[in-house]
Amino acid sequence: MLRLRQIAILVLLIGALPPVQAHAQDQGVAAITAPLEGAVVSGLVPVIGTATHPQFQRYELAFGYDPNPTDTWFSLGEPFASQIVNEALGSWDTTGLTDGTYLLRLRVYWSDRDFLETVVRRVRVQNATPTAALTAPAAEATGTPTPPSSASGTPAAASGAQPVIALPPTSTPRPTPGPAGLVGGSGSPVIATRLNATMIAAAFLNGVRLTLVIFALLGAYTGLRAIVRSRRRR
Amino acid sequence: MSDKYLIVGLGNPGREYRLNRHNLGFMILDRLVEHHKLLPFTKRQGKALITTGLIAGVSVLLAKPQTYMNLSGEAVASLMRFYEIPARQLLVCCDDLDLPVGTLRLRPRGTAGGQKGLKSIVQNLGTDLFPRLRIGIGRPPGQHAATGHVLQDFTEDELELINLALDRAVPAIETFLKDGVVLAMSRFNGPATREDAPKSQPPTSESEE
Repeated sequence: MLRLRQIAILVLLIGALPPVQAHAQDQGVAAITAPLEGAVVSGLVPVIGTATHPQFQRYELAFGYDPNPTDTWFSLGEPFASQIVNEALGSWDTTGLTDGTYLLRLRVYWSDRDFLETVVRRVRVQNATPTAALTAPAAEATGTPTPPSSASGTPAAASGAQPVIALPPTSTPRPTPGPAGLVGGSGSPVIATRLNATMIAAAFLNGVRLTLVIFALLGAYTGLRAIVRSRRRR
Repeated sequence: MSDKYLIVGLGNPGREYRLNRHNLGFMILDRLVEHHKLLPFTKRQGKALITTGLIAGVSVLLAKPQTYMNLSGEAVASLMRFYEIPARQLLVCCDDLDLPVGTLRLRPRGTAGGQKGLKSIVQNLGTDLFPRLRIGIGRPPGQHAATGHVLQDFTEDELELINLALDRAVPAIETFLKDGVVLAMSRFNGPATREDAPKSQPPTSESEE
């Protein structure tokens, strides 16, 4: 009777191991831990999470407008070929995006068509107004088009529209940071701060998980010792 | 002369107009970018947001004018001058009040037909000899003003047809680039059908963060 109870305790202890570990090994995981729903982001945003599967092929990151009734998604770079556990999955360059809410999607493929998916909703992109728009001389700003009020189907440009500076076309491409690096080429101090905060959160979660595992192992050890002792007494 | 093609989607800038019927041109370009995994429209050049890439083996420049609809021609003409793109290598994607919802019509040339963005492009280029891809949004019922109609969001029922039309627009543009406007017209002009929907597998599990 005593042994049965001890076995039951052991089973319970093993069951108390962090669920993510077992889930990752058995079925695969598609999870984004940063940014989370409701997060306010700007600039180059590191996307942190887990992308694993026993038959892992690749994972893909994409963003879309929120709401997204046309189900249109923009991929964040090329598909990634290696599995990631609670680390940087890629980065999302939000510079140039209209401020507002977006969706962030992670798909982990284990065949050409089968995938696990997770979507983070209501991620608010809030980039500062471009400096050029604020500091441009008034003379240049007069180039801002103001559609005639008679224009059918065209909203008035003055209603909440940002000033548009008429710059001549330039062939100089803006560098687009690759998804591999967290900070990328931007090196902005704001981004560095965000990165640290996110990494600290991830490290904290890792610490919690490790503590749980240690407690579970100690419990298992104590249980086994109790079983051995009871056998000796007999 | 460049061998690059310029594909322009017409719409009004700003999130409040994003799902308006009048922003169908932007939606077509977004679907094209998604399908070909091109970089999103985060780069501004002149008065437009642009992205570039290869579609059907053809070098393309995709542009969303940020000038408001009735001044779209300024952005388009500026890009065409800069890249030395001839009018026959321009494709303008926009909405059309006179076509039933979801019906696709590709034409090698034509009048603006009341579309202010097309009208502005014709004025700025000085020619109407450029291809255009229009998707119908239907006329408002009764005597309702067209202005209000085009600046309203699609209804749920319309979105179903529009999504099918967007799926149909992607191969239509690919065919236009690869085989020319005549073949693309003969294959894709007409109403969107359920056969246009992409045959994709649903996700096997979904977790919401």
